[in-house]
Amino acid sequence: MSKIIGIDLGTTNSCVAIMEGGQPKVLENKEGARTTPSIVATAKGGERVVGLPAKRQSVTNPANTLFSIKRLIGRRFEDAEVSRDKQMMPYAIVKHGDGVAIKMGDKEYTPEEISAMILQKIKADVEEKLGEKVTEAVITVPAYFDDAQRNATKVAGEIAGLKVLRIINEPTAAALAYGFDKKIGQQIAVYDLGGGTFDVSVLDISADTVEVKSTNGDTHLGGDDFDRVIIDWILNEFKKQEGVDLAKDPLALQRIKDAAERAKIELSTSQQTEINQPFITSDANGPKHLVITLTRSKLEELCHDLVQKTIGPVQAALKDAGLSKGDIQEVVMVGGMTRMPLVQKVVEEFFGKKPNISVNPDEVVALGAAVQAGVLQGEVKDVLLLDVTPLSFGIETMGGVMTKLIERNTTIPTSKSQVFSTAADNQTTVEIHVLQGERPMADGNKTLGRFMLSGLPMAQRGVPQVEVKFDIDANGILNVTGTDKASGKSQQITIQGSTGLSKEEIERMKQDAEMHAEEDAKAKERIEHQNIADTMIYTSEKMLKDAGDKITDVERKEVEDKIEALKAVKDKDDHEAIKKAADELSTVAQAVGAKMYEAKGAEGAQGADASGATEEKKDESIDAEFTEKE
Amino acid sequence: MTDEIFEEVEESTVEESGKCEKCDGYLIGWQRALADYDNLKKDLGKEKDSMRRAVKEDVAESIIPILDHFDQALKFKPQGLDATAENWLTGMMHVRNQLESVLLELGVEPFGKIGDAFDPHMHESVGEREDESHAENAIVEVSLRGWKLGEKVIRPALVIQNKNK
Repeated sequence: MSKIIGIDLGTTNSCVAIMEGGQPKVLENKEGARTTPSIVATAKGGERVVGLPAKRQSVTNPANTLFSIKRLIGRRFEDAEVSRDKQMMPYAIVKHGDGVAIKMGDKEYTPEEISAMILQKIKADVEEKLGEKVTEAVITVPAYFDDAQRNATKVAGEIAGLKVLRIINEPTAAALAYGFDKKIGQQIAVYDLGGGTFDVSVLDISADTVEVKSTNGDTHLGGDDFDRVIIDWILNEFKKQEGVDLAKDPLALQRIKDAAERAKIELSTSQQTEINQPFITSDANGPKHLVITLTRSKLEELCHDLVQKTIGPVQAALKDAGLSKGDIQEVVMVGGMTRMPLVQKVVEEFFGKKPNISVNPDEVVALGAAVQAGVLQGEVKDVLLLDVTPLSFGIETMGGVMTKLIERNTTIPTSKSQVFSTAADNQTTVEIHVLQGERPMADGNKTLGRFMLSGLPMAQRGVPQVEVKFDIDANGILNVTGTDKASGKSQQITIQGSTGLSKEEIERMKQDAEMHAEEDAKAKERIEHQNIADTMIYTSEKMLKDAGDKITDVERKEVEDKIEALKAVKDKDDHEAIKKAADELSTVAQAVGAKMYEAKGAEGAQGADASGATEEKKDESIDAEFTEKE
Repeated sequence: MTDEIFEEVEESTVEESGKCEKCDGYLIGWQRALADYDNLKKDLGKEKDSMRRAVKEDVAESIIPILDHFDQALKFKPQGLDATAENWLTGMMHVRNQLESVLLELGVEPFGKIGDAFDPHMHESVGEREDESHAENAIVEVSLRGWKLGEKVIRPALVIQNKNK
């Protein structure tokens, strides 16, 4: 079954999303952007272009570049909105039956046909991305759209080759994206400040429907107005400073437009930004530089009136719904402009509660449409809840350190294995001490169980390979298996309900870990130094044994002295001393080692290999002295 | 007796069919989960590539305006510089070239030159002018060069088009 796509067919930009793995996901278009400008054009060469390329040629081809077509869809030629657009738009709007048509190139197109071109591009880009045909869609429309406008949108979908399974309201889609359809009995306000329009809707959520109680807005208020205010301010400032009007220089104006938009975006996260456009123009006195600092407070002062203009429609929508501010349980923010801190502040002050903005406001409507598509496809109801491990699992290794195998928050069922080795020569038994918790040292964590794996073949430390495997099933039952890779011998332990700790217990263990983080880190560091020292002593002693008579007594004595010096400090709590002694031992041992290689090279030339001092074989078992194998 | 057996058989059929329905559900869910995981693994590889690309694009997007400003500054080079100033300028040009080579090493390449046919997939038109020496719709002036990474346009070239007669 092919995917059903969710499309937010916007006035300025459109966005498409699908359900994947039970989650809605926005798909990028061919140009790599997550939204597509709702613009169609016949370029001068006669080629039809849609989206970003259409926008890029709009300056020199305004009569054949169609934008904001959503304002015209499903309208009658006599409608006030159409009359207004006829005055404002650079393209020609003509009568077509009762409705309208728009001239592009030497042909006339209905708004449905133009919208279909946008939908076709979206469809083609999705098909390319998914590698499969897409035939069905859910499309969103503003809540105030009447039947004619909804039908026209459906027709547009069908012209584009999409079976429109459902037309849903944009605010409803936004609420769906937040999962608010489950908030039965609640009233939700959706505040949508987009690129060119402002809409506010009040929703009433019931058991199986989302009803739009009222809607209001301003069809000509949006991000473009905010950009215009900033551009005008920059032009004025520059004129004041340099006496030059940049509005007449198209290239300078283009640079200022880009800089203004960037500044607006930057000021959503920082308090001030620098508009830096050197060499923007020149006069008789030489080049001029545009360098102005714009603060967030200045921006807010400039945009104050625009933001305040949204409050009237909000009040009207509440009044129409017969509700007061206090009756609204959730406020959802939609549209890129709602990222502006001032907008959020004004909305929060009005409703007396923080608005929801965690879902990308440019994408929230498309994501909600995808959720609706998922419901129709039956993907959403099959949500299988998966558990996670609340705390980490691991074993005790050399020096009492807890080595984690399964990190906390891992989704179960899961399994993980790691190979460990022995910490002493001829160690034939290892103890596997299974732990749970977040502390770095074993003794700070909870013991879940222990078992011995014996009968390892005698070998030097670090040689045996013991694979420890942790497996947690969907019921939280933990199986730990230790297997000696050489002999194939294995032992295991099963721990029931390893994830079934009480909330309090989990919290306590997490807090413990946070509280002791500093001392634990120190203890772990000490153990790590001791482990390094231990390894160094072991390898140096082995080297001396192997060296036999290849080194002089003086050299042997030097290494032995350094070994003794390291042994003397290794168990003390003095990192610096351990590190110093280990470095010194390392230096002398390396010098001796290099000499041995030279000697071996000389002997090798004679065809003899004089390695292999006899090992003392003893059978001893050391508790859990595991070392991790690289 | 017969009735009883009949009933028992019927009961077990119901049970069995009930069980199988569940089994089927589980099997589909399991197959879906495995397929999702397999697809996720494939997607992860692609995602890593696209992350790497995105980082390159981000770096390029930060460097390109600086290079633009360098080039813009050069358009305003004063006339009649003395040898010392010319020498200093040569040094500054080396700095500019270093910046450009960072972009080239990232695989980001410039495009857009006078005479190229205007292509809205690559170029952004900022104006038009009549120029008989060029073809219809050809680029007659490049205000800012464009940059692309592979086939993806990171920044379109800002150009002035030849005005159709």
